[in-house]
This record gives sequence, C-alpha cells and structure tokens, in this order.
Amino acid sequence: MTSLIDVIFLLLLFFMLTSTFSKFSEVELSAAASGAVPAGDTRPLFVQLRVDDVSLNGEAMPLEALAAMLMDRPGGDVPQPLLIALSGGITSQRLTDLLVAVRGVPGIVPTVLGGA
Amino acid sequence: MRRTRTSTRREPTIALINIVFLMLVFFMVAGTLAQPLDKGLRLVRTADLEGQPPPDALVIRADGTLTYRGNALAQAADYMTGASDGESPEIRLVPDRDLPAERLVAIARELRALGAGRIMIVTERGLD
Repeated sequence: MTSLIDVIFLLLLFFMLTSTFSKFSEVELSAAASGAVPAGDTRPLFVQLRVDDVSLNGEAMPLEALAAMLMDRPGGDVPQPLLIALSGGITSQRLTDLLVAVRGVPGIVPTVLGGA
Repeated sequence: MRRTRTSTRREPTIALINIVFLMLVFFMVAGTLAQPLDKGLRLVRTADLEGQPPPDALVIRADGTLTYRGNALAQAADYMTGASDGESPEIRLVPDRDLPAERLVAIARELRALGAGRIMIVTERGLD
C-alpha cells in the first residue's frame, strides 16, 4: 500500500514540475533580405510604425484602424507588398501587434524593413 | 503501573491516495510537457492567433542576449549550426516583449542570411 502511494506521489511531483500552462502561438516575421528588390509591378504600401500610432502612406491613424483601412484599399485581392518601417523606441510587442493586425487582411504581403 | 493506551487508529490512507490521484490526473490532463524557456522572460502577448505546441526555440532576452535551452549563445550563427537540418529550416524566435524591434529584425535578417526559411515569432496567447 505504501509503495503505491510513493509511486503516485513521484508521478504527481514529476507532472507538477514539468508541465507548463502557457498557451503559445506564433506569427511569421518576414524581414526583407538585405539587397532584395521587391518584385512585381504593384505599388507597395508603406507603413511607418510609431510608438503611439501608425502612418499608412503618410496618413496617420491608430493601429486598430489600420486593418480596416487596408481592407478597403482599391485593387482587391491582388497581392500587394506592405513595407513596414520602424521608428525609434518600438518594442517587439508593438511590432507583433502590427503583424497580427495586418495578418488578417487578404492579399497583403508584409515585409519589415530594418532600422537604418 | 498501568500503561496508557495510545489510540492506534490508522491514518485514512485511502482518502490520501484518492486526493493525490485526483491531482495527478489533473496535472497529466491539463499541463503540457515542454522544454522550460528562459526564466524571467516575458513573452509577447497576442490574441486571435491559433494555438501552437510549446516551442523549443531561440530565446532573445530584453537586452538582446540569445539563449537556447538555458545556454547563452554569443551570436545567432551558433544557433544555426546546431539546428540546421534540412534545406531551409523554419526558425522560431521567442523574444521578450520589451526587446527593441530593430534588434529582433536584425537577428531575423542575420538568420535569413544564414539560410533560414520562414522565421516565426512565438508569442503567448492571451485569453480570448
């Protein structure tokens, strides 16, 4: 009887110490290869990511409005490159927020440009 | 001299086993076995993404240092030499949420130059 308890205790300890309860997910980071030229004849969209907002082709807007703005763009489902430039002080959290927001828009091919 | 009779009631062993068994079943079902990531790492939080199994991936701390399975790496090339299997392997990065994005992009570009295929950022899924 006691040995049974011992074994069960050991199993319990093992599973308590090794298991994790975090849920993970992942999003693709497509950074431009250095020297790569964006192919195709479609005009790329340009997004500058700032700490407080983003600017799409020079037009400032909050990050939440970017996906809707991209959805309404003329041209429909033609694949269109989206160049993402980072201004100073951007954290990985902020960049990932942008990538997740852009990810749901069909036909958008995001590319992160490196800092200068 | 009368010996005082100590009451020798046995402990409720069966009840103890039952509780421990319940906890065991809970942890077996609810938890996931995984390589532990870096301690003190605060993952990027996201919502609206599909769940993924726990990663075994390159960790980038907030100060830009790289670790893999608890060992510090001097540069990203060390990771590629250890993990290069196949033509263009899919690389998973686990950045801290406060890591400057320029550093993250620089590391991704470095890995891409070394032959990496797709580069994924592993995040922590928020409750949604």
